Amino acid sequence: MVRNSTSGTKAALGRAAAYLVIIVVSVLFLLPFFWMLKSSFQTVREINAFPPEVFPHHLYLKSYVDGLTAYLPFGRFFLNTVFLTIVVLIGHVFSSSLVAYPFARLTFPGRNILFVVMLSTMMLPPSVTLVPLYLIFSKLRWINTYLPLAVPAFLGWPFYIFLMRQFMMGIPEELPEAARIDGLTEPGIWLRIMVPLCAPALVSISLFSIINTWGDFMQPLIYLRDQATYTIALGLQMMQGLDQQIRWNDVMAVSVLTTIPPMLIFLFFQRYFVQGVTFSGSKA
Amino acid sequence: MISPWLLRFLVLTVGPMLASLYFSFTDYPILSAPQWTGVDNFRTMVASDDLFWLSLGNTFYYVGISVPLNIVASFGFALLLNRKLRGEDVYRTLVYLPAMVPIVASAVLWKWIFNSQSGLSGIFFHLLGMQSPHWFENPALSKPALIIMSLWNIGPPITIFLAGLQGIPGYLYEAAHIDGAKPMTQLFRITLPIMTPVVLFNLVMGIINSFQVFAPAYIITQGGPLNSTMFFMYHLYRQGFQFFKMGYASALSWVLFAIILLFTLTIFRSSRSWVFYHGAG
Amino acid sequence: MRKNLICVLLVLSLSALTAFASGNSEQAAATGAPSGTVDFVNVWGGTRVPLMDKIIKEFEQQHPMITINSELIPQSGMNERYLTSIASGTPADVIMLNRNQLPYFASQNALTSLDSYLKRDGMDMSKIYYDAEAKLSQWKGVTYALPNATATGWALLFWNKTMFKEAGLDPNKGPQTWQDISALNDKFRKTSNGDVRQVGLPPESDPAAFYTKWLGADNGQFLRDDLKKLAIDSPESKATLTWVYGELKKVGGIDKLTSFYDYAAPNDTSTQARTAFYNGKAAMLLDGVWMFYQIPQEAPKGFDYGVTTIPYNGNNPNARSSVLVDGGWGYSIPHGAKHADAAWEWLKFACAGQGSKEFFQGQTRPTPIVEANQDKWYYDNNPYWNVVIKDAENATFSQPLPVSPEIKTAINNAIEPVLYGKTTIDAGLAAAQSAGQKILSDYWAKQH
Repeated sequence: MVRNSTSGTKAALGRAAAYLVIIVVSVLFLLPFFWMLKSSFQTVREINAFPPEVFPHHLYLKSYVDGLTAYLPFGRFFLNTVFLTIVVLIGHVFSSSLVAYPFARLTFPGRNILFVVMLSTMMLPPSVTLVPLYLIFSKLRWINTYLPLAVPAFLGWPFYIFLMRQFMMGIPEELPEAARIDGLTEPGIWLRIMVPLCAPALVSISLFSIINTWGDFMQPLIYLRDQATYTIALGLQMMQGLDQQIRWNDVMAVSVLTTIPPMLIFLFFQRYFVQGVTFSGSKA
Repeated sequence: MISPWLLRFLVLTVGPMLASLYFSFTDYPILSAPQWTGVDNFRTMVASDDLFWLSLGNTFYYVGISVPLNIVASFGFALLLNRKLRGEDVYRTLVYLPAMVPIVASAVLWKWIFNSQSGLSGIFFHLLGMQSPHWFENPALSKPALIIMSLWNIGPPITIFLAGLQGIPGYLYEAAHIDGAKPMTQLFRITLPIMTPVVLFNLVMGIINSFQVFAPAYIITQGGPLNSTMFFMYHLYRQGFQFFKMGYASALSWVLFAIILLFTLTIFRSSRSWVFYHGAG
Repeated sequence: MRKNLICVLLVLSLSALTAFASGNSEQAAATGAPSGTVDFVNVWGGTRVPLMDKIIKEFEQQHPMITINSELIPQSGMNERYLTSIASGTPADVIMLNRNQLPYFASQNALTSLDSYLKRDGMDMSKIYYDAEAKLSQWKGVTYALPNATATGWALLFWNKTMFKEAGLDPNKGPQTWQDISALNDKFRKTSNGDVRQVGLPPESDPAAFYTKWLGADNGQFLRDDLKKLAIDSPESKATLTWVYGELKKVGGIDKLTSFYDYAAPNDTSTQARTAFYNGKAAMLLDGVWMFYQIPQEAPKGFDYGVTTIPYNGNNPNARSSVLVDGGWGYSIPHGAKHADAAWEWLKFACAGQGSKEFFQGQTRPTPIVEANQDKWYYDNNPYWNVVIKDAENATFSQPLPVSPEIKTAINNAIEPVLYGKTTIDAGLAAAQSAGQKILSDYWAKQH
């Protein structure tokens, strides 16, 4: 995508203004992480100190060691979380693109009603379906396994299905038409045309899926019984213990560490996929 | 292609929903069987539950302001980020950073930011030569504070808008540029119309999600002060998991469901006149 | 069309199944000698993990046939976890329950009665535990839990000796009555440009504080003895709220208090009052026994403090230093637990025996066991141990009910406007009484 770039002060000012806004907003967005980072380098005494210390004047690193070793097997939790995240990610990417296709490009009786029904499943607060859903999983004997956390991903999460459907509907009809004339079947069209063209949406979905799985602690809490299978988010909550004795610097140290992998994945994903998309998208 | 998925979907998703619909006509203490009570729950809701109306009002307030605000902010920022910038990957990761901060840290963190003396709010107002107001402790400013907080979560909508912007074919802009169209015209004649499906998505998702706002009120303000941040979902959650009245909570949840569904259907209906799908519909 | 109909029927029947599946399924009776793996769900996370591991190891050495599987969970999400696992008939063997929820769980037949175990092993709750602790572990006369952490020990009056000295007061003499506190508050309160910069005892901004913390020290009750009437409109209650709100007004109300906390406790990582106390901005603090452990770690080095039991209303001749207690952690065996007998052995060890003593001594906290608290170790390691004992002995038992959380919320909703200056104390108390009483009366009406 090309932006017009007339020379002259007006364009340069516009660019500078844009940069300024971006930088200011970025700093604001950085604040939460900055607070976490700063607290992880302070002793508990310093965190509470008066007047408040904005920049720690020395780096107290013991929280990182303590946080990871003194409480819970975070190494184990990390591996569990990575495993679960990957499985769920595959499920979401696969199911959302697969299920969105009929909703976007095929016509069949009851399509719109079914679409609304699917969407409406997001409108009921999960608090009230928690118990019935748990009972179903209990009858299936899936408690204390990763199945209740992973299988729903393969059934599709309406948010992602909806997103893919919007993107698929934005693709001009000529492309699949041409492919059909060339003899490609529907599944082939789905795989070779629709999915690649919706790559930006898939990247977004991947990122959301990773973040959500990484940070969810309620699902692991009620479905997992064996501590060796716990995830990082759950471990982090457990670190708090009872309210009166939270060691915030340890909690923040572990929080910082657990935020870094998703962050790195973000940066990596974007560089990798954005390149591919920019070249193919504009060719259309 | 659809039927096996449909079956499993019905069992795991629609099944529990229907169960909760049944519960809404019962007295259900969770640990023992539900007792049928007919429409009692709904009658109580309307006639004797002050918090029903109050929490509904709070929620409408929140939705009415945060949804448009978030859409405009995220779209605007996505436009800004869509240029060829140096370090654009970093900026795009940065907008997602707040979503990655563990919930554990939220309460303390946001109190620090809104602190009227030494936090961001205090510093900001001090620079303006004014006294910072109290946010979370002030019944009039608690919702605005949470709405401002919600702006930190525009990472996902920004990402989606960016994905949409990237898919706009470049030749459209080139042609417009050759025709001498100004950037503003390009924005309104090319960008916006093509982006309408994505706007629809973020609008609908924004509505669905913000009607269910809960976590910030639960973690930071506990519904206060003076129930100013008692949102409908919090009221519902408390009835179900703290008072163990899951029947009443289910009834409340279906009222919320109906409201959200109504809004969503209305938006979809209206979308026929303002959403433009590039391909076949 | 046919397929759709079958689908619909399947879904409906499955939904019906799940609706009625909650409740208790019949389990086979436990076999003879206690053995097996006990699933023990608890929230002793954070710094208590090594302590728990230690006592589990000791227990397993003493009971080679039993293994304890400690399932740590966070406090937020406890109810979700317990409710789903019990409702589906797959509960853990031991759960850590706050005993203010015991009435609800017990009345739903979700807990195993411990009476037969107690009788078999010759244990008398009233002889082992403090009076309030024993009562809080029972529902309708049946014991459903063993007390683990104390229900007491959370409302002690700490004071900053250094600040007292600097103000010309005797650093070894803490306040005994509310009137003492008021006088000290006046002395320590400092303002600057209309903003409060220092206080004595931080005033309460929580509408529940007056009846949870202070009412007991005015000889007040939450429920009347017959448990059928709420006592929020009693003269004692009014006197308590009047005093509590009075101190808040002297500071300038919620607005000024917030400014004070924003100034004195900006990083509020524990409670604001506690942080202000550490920072020398508050001369006193009402807090719990964990402070003996926390102060050396969190307060500035050389922090010198004194502690006494909660001051009482000196204007009421019947008042004495006492706190209303209606909760505290306990260990219970859910109905349907697979290894109830083995679970009982763990309960004995961790709540009535050596496990309890070691676990709480390791945190310099008291146990609910009368005898264990007399251990010389405590006296040697804590110069204020007699204060802790006095607090435990003086506690007043307040019966929790299944509807107590709902009643308390209704009361808080009615009292909060009082603290914000939006309504009078009398109006607030009347509204609280009427709203809370309605819930209470509805509850009793359903009991027949």
